[in-house]
Order: sequence, then C-alpha cells, then structure tokens
Amino acid sequence: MNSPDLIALLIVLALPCVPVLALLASYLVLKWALSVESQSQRPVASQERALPPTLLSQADHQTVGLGYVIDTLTPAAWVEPTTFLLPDPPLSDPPTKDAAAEVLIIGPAAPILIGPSENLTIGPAQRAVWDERGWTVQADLDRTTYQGQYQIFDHQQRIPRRFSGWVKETTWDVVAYIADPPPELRHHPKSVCFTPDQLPWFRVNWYIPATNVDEAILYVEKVLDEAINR
Amino acid sequence: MKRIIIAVAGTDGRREYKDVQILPGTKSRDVLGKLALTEFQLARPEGGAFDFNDDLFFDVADGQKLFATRADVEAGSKAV
Repeated sequence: MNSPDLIALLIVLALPCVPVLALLASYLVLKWALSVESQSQRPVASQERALPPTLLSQADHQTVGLGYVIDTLTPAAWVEPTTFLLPDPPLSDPPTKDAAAEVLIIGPAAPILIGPSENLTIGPAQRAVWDERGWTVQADLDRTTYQGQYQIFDHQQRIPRRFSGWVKETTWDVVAYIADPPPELRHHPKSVCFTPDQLPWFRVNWYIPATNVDEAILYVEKVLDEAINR
Repeated sequence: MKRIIIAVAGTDGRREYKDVQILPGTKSRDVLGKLALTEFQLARPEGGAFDFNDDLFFDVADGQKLFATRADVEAGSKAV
C-alpha cells in the first residue's frame, strides 16, 4: 500500500470521530470560559463582604478561612448581636452596594408618655360661721354689723326654716337680734330672754355673753332648734 | 370611716382641724376630748348643736365641716 492510499484510509477511518472531537473541544472551551468568569466574580477569601459603612469597617472584622468573616462590630442601638459570622454570598447573589443601600431600619419611635393629669383637690375654705351661713358684714368705725338668717331644719315638717337676724359686734359686747321668732319659742325656758326691741326684732339678752358673732349665731340657732325639734 | 373638718367658731377659720377621721360609734365628746376642746360643743350643719353623747358618725357626712363653739354661752339674766 502506497502513501496516498494509507492517508485516504486514515481519513476514512477518522471521519466518524470528528463529531466526537468537536463536542469534546467545545466542552473544554466552555469549561474554560466559566472558570474565567467565576474567577472574575467570586471574591477572594480576604475580600470582605460589602456591608453598609455604618455596620462594618476595616477595624470591625477579621477574615477567617472558608470565606467567612468574623464581625466584631460594636453594636449600634438597633443592632442586637455583638458578634456574628457572615458567610460568603453565593455566586448567583453577590453583594452589591445597591443591596446594602436597601437595608431598612425600623425601630421604636420616640416614646410618647401619656398619663393622668395632676389631681386638683379643692376643699372647703377656712371661713367663719357667719361667712359659712351666708351672712353679710358691714364694718363701721366703732362696730361691725352682720346680717343674715338663722337656719334650722324642722325635723317634724322636714323643711328648713329661716329667721332673719342681725348681730352687732363692738369692742365690748355682742348683741344679737331675731325677727319674728317662731311661736314654738314661747315654750322654751329661754323664751323670756328674747325681749322685743323694735318690732319685729327681738333682742337676745345674755347671761354668759357670746364673745363674737359666730358664737352668737350658733347659740340662737341652738335655742331655735331646741324649741322647734324638742 | 368618715373624714370631717372641725373649725373653732370665732377664729375666722384660722383654727381648724382638718382630716379628722372618725369611726362608727364615735361620739361628739370623743372628738372634742381628742382635740382638747372640752369647753366647746359641736354645732349641727343644719342648725342646732350636737349633744355630747350624740353619735357623730351617724349624723355627719363624709367631708362635713363642723363648727365647735363655746358651750357656756347662755341667754338670760342673773335671775333666769
């Protein structure tokens, strides 16, 4: 067999292998291309994961093997863990600055304290009897005159009864008057002490005198109560 | 328990005993004795005076203000 015949025989024998070789070659080329691309995208072990600058800085972490980063960041007010591990991101989801910018911080708003207002307690004022009973006062040079009504509750008729009165207070005595005293007073032992002065006014004569207007008012009301209710 | 105010008549309200608390069965004389007002008597709010043996707890309302007045004031004359 001469050389041309040998070459022709080799070609005939090699023809069926051409598609297999072509497929093998394209597989190698594709694999090489993928490895080159992965080398360009995959961060090296010492490359830190992109995080917001507020979370991590060069001084806040250290890199360990297998692509993990130990974060020793001092926690901010809204970051709970003090130390955590961050794995390298998968190839299909590389961290970007845009992803870091999407970090949404939701924390408690400024506290609003709503409580009950301060209690305002109002008690009865410090008043004299004449003021408490609604009497009026008129002060002159040598005397003070009080005018009002003696008040008694009639327990039998269940009604309040009032009698006009006035009290003259000077530096040396207190004189009490009552207008139209009730008829029940006639049966009281002290009725004779109520003497008519200028009708309809009756003057109260003292055995042990009241020393101020309050005592005079309360005493006349006491006698009226005894006369009406007993 | 009831809380009452005791004011001494004739002092224009300057002498007051606030926050006096009384229990059931407290008599007028108990309050006057405790406040050293032994020569006084308590006036009723509606007029008249409490007897020394009256049950004060039964007759007053919570927060009531009572006046204490001298008990020896008396109408009359030397002959009456």
